[in-house]
Amino acid sequence: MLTYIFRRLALMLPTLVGVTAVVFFIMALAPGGFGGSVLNEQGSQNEGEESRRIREYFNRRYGLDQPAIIQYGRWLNQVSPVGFLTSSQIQFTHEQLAEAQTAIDADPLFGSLKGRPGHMLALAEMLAKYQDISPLEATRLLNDALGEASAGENLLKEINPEVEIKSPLTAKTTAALLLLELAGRQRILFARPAVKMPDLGQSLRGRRVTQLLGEAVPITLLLNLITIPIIYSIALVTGILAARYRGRAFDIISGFIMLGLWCLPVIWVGVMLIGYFANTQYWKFFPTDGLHALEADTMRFLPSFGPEGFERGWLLDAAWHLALPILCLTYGGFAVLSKLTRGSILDNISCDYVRTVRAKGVSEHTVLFRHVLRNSLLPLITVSASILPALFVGSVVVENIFSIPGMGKLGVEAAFMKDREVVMGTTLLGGLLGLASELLRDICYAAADPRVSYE
Amino acid sequence: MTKDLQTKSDSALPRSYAARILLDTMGRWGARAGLLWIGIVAFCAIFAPVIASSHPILLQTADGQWTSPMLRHLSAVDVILLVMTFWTGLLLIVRMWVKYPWFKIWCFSLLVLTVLSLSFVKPPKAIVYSHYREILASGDAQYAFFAVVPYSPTDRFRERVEEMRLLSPSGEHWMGTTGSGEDLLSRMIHACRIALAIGFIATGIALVLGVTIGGLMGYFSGIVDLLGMRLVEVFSAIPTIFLLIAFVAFYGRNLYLIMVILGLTGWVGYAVFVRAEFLKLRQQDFVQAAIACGLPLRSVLFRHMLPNGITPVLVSASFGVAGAILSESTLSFLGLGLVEEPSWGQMLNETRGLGGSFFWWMGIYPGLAIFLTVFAYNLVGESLRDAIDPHLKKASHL
Amino acid sequence: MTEPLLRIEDLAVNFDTPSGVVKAVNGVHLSIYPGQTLGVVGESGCGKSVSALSTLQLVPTPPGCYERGKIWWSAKGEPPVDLLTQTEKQMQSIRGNDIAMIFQEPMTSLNPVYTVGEQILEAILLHQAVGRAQAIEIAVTALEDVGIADARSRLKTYPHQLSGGMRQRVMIAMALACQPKLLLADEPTTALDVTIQAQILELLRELQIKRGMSIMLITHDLGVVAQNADVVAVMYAGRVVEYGSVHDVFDRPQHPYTRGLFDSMPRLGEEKHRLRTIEGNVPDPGNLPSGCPFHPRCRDWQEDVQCAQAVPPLQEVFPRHWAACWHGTGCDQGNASLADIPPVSTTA
Ligand SMILES: Nc1ncnc2c1ncn2[C@@H]1O[C@H](COP(=O)(O)OP(=O)(O)O)[C@@H](O)[C@H]1O
Ligand SMILES: [Mg+2]
Repeated sequence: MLTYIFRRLALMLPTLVGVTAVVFFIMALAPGGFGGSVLNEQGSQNEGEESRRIREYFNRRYGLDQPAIIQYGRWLNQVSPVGFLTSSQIQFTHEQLAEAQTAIDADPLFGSLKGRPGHMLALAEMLAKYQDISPLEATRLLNDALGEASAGENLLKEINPEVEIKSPLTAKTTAALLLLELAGRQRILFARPAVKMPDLGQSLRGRRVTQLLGEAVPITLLLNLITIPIIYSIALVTGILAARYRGRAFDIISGFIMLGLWCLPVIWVGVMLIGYFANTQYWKFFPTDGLHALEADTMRFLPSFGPEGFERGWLLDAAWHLALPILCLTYGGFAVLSKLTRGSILDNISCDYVRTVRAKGVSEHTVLFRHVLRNSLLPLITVSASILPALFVGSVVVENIFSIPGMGKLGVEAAFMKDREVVMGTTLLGGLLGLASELLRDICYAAADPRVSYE
Repeated sequence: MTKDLQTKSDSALPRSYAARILLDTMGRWGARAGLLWIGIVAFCAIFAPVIASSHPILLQTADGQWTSPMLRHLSAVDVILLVMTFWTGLLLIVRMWVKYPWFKIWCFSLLVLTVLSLSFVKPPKAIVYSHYREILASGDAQYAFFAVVPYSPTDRFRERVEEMRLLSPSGEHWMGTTGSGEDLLSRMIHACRIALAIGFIATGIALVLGVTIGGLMGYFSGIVDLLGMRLVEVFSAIPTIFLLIAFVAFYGRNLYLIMVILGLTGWVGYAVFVRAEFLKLRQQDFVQAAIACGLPLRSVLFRHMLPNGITPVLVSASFGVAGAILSESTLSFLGLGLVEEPSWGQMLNETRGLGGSFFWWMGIYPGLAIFLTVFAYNLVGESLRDAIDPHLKKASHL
Repeated sequence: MTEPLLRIEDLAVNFDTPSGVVKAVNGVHLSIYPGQTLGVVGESGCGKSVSALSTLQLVPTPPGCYERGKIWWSAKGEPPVDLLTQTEKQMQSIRGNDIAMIFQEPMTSLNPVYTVGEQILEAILLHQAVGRAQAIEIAVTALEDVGIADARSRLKTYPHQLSGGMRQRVMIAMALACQPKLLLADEPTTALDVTIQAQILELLRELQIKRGMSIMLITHDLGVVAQNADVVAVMYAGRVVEYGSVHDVFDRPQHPYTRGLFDSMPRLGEEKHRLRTIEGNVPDPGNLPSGCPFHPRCRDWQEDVQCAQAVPPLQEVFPRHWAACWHGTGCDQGNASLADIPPVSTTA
């Protein structure tokens, strides 16, 4: 079993690479390009110096001036826990920096350049990182480059072969150009393989994707963790009852209702629920958006009677906010599962083994709950893996309707903004969750069905 | 005993398997109700410009001349749809008496018509919807005969925008008007096109892809199967909704693109199904015999295996159509749909952006239309499934 | 003469199917005496299983429906009760306890998700007032009785880990764990290899002698009947058409259908000749021919006799040998009324 799990985990890797590759190349090959919505507005026809710099900055930050395949390689290296360090990840010790600082202070060339204190040190540090040399060496290199125009040009060319040099290089202009070219630029240091923290990159607005996901994922997971038990319990109860009273009123009516619920589009239900139940025009029973009231942080956890009468407390407040979204997320799932439960029970009830059990003199109740139900659960486990992605789609819609800052909302907004790193991060995590739930399903199945074993 | 029954019903119904399935399906009320609704939607889709248009169908100008502005404003697609509908009907009616290769003629005429109308049908670029209302009011026209719903879907009543916004349903605007003053009913009718087209074309693409890939995987097994399964795994692990959104966000809003993407992301289910079916079929004697006879691969795959493995796929295809319609309306709802053409999801989306007020007609009608259409396709799918094999229920939708 | 343990009188069971009412069983008379083995033979679809299932009220209703008839069950010393009128609760205490049943398909007749032990224990704990530990001992003994070695560890295996023959042994062990007085064995060996078949039948015979129970052995194999049964009932289209001791029936088959069955059976030690088949097909039980259901296939059918008009009753053609045919050889041997079910007692 353990070896099986390890094998499955190993097989997940190529699949994840495939998943991310598909999404990445779709974005990379798009005509508008990545980050378009930020850049097209500013980087239009007569592009000013400022916007050109912004574009070049983004190009450097995400390596957009390189071919798509290399960009993808960079991204993979960035998210992989085993890979190569990038130049921006190199950290220098205080001693190393102090050493460089003394070298700079001692050098008359640097002294001749005006600038903020530490300015030169920052440049040296950047250069050191990019070239993967020590800061002290970098100061020497810098000294050469600033001191002699041709050396400076060579260094600039080395960093960016297409650098434009408009006027003759002086020490000052060389320093300025170097600063411009090095800002945000990073490269993979193949000489430095490492085991590192996976890094999902930086969103267009500058926040770390890991941080964004760290805020959004728990919310989506919370929604789904509440939804799944509700779905399964309603589905089981109605499915069992429908199978038990097959052909009677309950069966027929619940069959109709379930078929109807199954076809109800979430977008419609969401809009109508907000329109009627969260609107002052009709009944303002529920809040329209968010997960908590603004003042939720100051509430007590449980409902209580305070000096100003009833206080709903944090828990009840959350439940109140979640009621409509959860309703939207559950009904489709339990409709499908209820039909499935009923069908599965009816399939099993006409099986040979049920006849054997009856011939033993077992009561109908025991036949249903001990024998039939146990076997009928197997198909429910099988579909659980497709319920999860469905829930995921559901949460994209529901989070958008109810303004819940979860993964779905994050992903849709990122796609709107053409924010590549965020879309990739969401895709990676979504794919990972999907594959993990599949693995979990297979393990559950093996536990529930003795005929299946993974050896 | 079952054997006896089989032969009995066989002799009673001397028809092909497909015809029998079709007949059985049509006998179920679910299928009938579903098809009825789909028929209504199809009717609206084809005749949309005739049913709902601001341009009069017939107009008599002051000098007594009769014109038809509605016809003049038809687009190439409108013309193809209308002409082909009547032409198909005619071909089918004639076929009742005379046997002739009607399908070839049909395909040929579709081709000719498409070329002709794309090159010759040129509706005026600048459309002034209020024009006819104005000349009628000013007495420049003697008589005008309007469509049942005398409003075009994008007619915003330029001349009196403010008073036309968000009117609740009335005798004049049966379903009310939208936030920009368009007639909701007209938009609903014109939106039938997207719903119908997206369902069929997206599912068609997915079906062709899925059946081909699945068939190849099932037939060759081995390395092809292994590679194919990796592909299937990758595509089923991609959160489809993100892929769709990313696609539309990065490549722009285009109906055909949306169809293609829905097709490209929807083939996995069919492929897995066909693969399993083909793996089973391959072991069977008649396929082995066909291979042993040295028939070319194409013949083995398409003449001997496909007809035997395809029927259950049609069941998932009709659920797939429903799924495609849902996906399109979800995309439109998220604001990623078409801008210039109305779609139900987009109308539902408009409901949200009205400053916190809720105008029920803008929520109920488009949503109901999506619901009924999805419901109809699912009903047809369920009936088809029951007709094909009552035991198929286990491997049902999802 | 002792009372019969089980006496089926004029049993009729219908099935409501989409293609009309199917008369699966249409007037069956049978009786089984203590310690006796009754062989029931007939082509598949003639209603053997339905008759046996009716005894335990296990016919699925709907679509099934007990049309008429009585099934008298007389446990030791008590007056006979009609099993068809018993409530579900009463039936539950009879099933598996007094009357047990084993089925044709050992591969699918055990619940795949429970161990063999759990399934045997279920029956024991239900019908016997014993604790779990004691029940396990009983189960182990039951498994040992059916010739399963290493019984204690076998309790923990799942059905799919066993071969077909082993599963059928488990089924028998499960059925016999509560010492039933009657075992309904519905084609217990049909799905098994020939060698395993012989072992299972041998086992049943041994157990019967050891416990003195009665067996209703349903089969379509005349050879099996010849070797294992005392009394044989030949069924055709939902009716018993011939009934008598194995000896009598095999010596002088009276019904043309029985004769056809014998003719179509290869025999050792006879000159090679073509086997004669019974022409035609088993009639569709939803659409039986008028009169004697066998007459369209009957070699002896004569236009002048009533064959096509009326159903022949079961008549005693020889002492203790009944047949339902209008032109049986010994027609005048006395007209047993239908209520007087053939009381064939044990041979020997
Ligand atoms: N559950 C059922 N539904 C409908 N018809 C049934 C059912 N069970 C049995 N039958 C019918 O009853 C007839 C007798 O069946 P059965 O007793 O199983 O035959 P056999 O003699 O082979 O055991 C068959 O022709 C079958 O059509
Ligand atoms: Mg049987």
